[in-house]
Amino acid sequence: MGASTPVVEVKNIYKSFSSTRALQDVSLAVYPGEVRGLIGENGSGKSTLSAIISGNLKADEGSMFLFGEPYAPANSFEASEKGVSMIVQEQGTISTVSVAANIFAGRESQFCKLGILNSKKLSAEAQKLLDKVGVSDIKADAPVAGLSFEDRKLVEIARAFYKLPELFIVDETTTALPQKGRNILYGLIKMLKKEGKSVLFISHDIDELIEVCDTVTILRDGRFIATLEEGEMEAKKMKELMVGREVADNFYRNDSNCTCVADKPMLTVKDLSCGILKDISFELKTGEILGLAGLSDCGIHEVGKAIFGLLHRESGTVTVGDGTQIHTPSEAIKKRVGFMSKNRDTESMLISMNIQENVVLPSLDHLKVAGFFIPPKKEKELASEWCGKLNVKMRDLKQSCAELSGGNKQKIVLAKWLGNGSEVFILDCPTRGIDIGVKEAIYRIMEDLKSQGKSIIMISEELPEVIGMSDRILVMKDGRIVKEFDRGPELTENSIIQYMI
Amino acid sequence: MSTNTAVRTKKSDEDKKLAFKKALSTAIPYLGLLILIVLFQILTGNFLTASNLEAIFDQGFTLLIASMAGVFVMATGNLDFSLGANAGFCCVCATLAATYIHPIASIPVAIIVGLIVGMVNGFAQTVLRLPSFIACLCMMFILTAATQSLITGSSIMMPVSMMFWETFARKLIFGIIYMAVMIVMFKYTRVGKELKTLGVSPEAARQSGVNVKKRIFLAYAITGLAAGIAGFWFMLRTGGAATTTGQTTTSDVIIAVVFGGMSVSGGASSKISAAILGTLIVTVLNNGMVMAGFGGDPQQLVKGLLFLLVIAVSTKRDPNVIIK
Repeated sequence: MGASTPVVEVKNIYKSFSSTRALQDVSLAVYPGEVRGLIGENGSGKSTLSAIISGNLKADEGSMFLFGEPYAPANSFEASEKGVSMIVQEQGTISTVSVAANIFAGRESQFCKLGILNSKKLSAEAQKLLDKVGVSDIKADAPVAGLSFEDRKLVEIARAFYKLPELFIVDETTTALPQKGRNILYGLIKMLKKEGKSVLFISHDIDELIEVCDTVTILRDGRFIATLEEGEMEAKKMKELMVGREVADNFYRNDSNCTCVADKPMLTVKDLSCGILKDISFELKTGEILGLAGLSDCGIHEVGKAIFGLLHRESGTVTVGDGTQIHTPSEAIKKRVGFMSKNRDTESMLISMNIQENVVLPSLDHLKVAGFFIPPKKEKELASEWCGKLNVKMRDLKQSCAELSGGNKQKIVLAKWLGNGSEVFILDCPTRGIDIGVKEAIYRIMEDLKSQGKSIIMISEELPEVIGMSDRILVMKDGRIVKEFDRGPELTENSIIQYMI
Repeated sequence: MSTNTAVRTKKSDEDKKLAFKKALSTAIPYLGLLILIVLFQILTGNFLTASNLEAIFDQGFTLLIASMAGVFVMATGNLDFSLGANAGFCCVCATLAATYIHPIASIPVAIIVGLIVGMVNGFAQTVLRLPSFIACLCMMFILTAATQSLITGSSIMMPVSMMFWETFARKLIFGIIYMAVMIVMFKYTRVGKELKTLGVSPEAARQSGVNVKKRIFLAYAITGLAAGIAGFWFMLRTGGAATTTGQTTTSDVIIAVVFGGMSVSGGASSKISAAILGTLIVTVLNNGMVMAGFGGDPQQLVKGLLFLLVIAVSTKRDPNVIIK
């Protein structure tokens, strides 16, 4: 492979964002027919690198070559015209227009005659493309707004395959896709490989990378660390190269049996119906980690929101340990229930406010003097106590949360609920998109909370962590609880998956 | 090891730079005020005299009352467009109450009318779910119409006995108490802290236990109450009410708060000091331009251009703020 010209070669790339250096002297070459993995912790620079290659960002220094020719795309459109297409992590479709219009966005002129768009032809072409990619159940003339998040991703994939890309960049798309979508994507990658095209595959999932990729490049703190060839790719080694130190074996909990203490429920959900949710009933025991597993649109996320009072309930009750019912977030917080949304930047924290303001927000009532006055000193003490206990990496308490990494943001959210003395924690995707180091720290915090007799509802789409952390697992499908598992050594992903789909 | 230390020093250098930038952006309004004072002193020669400073205090007094309350609504990312019209309407009601009931009655009437208007604004947005902009604009039209129909001719007079109510000492004492209450409420109580969060993200605030509707309602009630107080002082200052009373107050409040260093979209940059500082800047600007011989039209032009400039600069300063 080494003899041929690389499809894309980047040399000595540097990139900084105001005070952070995202990339330092990174070089990389991808050869025809190669599926290259790119892995690293959050903030390691992998998304920045892919954004530069796909024309979404410009490097400060360094050069790029496409088939040996200098390559400097002005934007992502120019890059995709030259054969470099990317599917992004976040939403990349325009929701107000149809699927077909999305697929051919920017390329409509070929369907125009005398300035009038032939939308029938546009739809037909789009449908052909969708069929070719293997998602014929998405209709080209349907509005994108009506599609699920997963289907929108598939529309994006179809768009990228309008012209077979020379280099196809997949940026953590698979975290948003259910198994069906993943299989489609894997199929397309195989097809590209056969055609001699190449793929740059970015993922957090090490096992997935090993399965899909020929070679894997590891980045850490914006620097190139290593490229592993086939045969060298091994999960433990990759983790260590990513983190820069040895990773403990007991990533999840090491006890393998259910260890909840008393029978006294901390939270009782009874006959809860709400939107997609139908008759949800369960009890959360003291010191229990209760896992909620299921496909992303099966209702697991809605359960958390509904308990916390964020959704309008059609029927059913949520009762805390002392027998009071909770209906709104303020009531829930008063009764020491905390909720961590899966949408970190928009819901679970006030992104443009500072660390202290975020941490103390739910605890303001506890800090009052004379019934109304909140002394700044007490705010500071509370925030620094919990940020210290959770080891938040920050400049000072007045630093804006927007400047923090994903893992540190998640710690701030935890600090908020810990500082407020919460007894019940509803954690929706607590480790989504955060790196291994902080992931491990969050698992340890969860264990710690459990040992203090606090209870946790962990909602997650990642089965290994649900199995690894929960005392009990509720599996959901189409808005109902379909199966309950107790913690045990014989519990496997496969035994759960069959109830999910 | 050596590279590690190098990276760390580099980082702390950048931290210093960042801290300097932050300090600079806080200092800009103060610098602006200083420049204006120096400029007008040079242009007019008698800007910094005791009598002119007292004039500035008199002119800025009602604006200070209105803009300090305006911060409560602006922090949430909304604007109270009816603020000036409310103050004008309260001024009319106070004048009528003083004339037909008793001079003392003017105080509770102004305050209660203002509060009710504010509460209606809050009700329209939280219970009826009308967009803030529409609700306040409609309220402005209604109040302006009411004011005009209550005033026969172009103005009405308050009883002559009230001419001596307005003294420097009274205004000073009231001003200090009012400022103290507003500063404490905005900086050191749940109300102010939670209102700020609404300007960042109402959904995130709700998930942290902020009762969004209650807070929005309260913000408009506070602003309405303050409009009533401002209306009362308007009456004392001008000796009654006119159809034009309070006409420029709304825009002056917005300009003052933004000049004072707060974003129009509220949120993280919200601070009560912006109202005090901004009121000073706007009043000095108004007063200085009159003294320097600017006519009415150029005054508006200068204010408009400065406003544009400040918005352009202040939005660049904070990348997280998007003007709605």
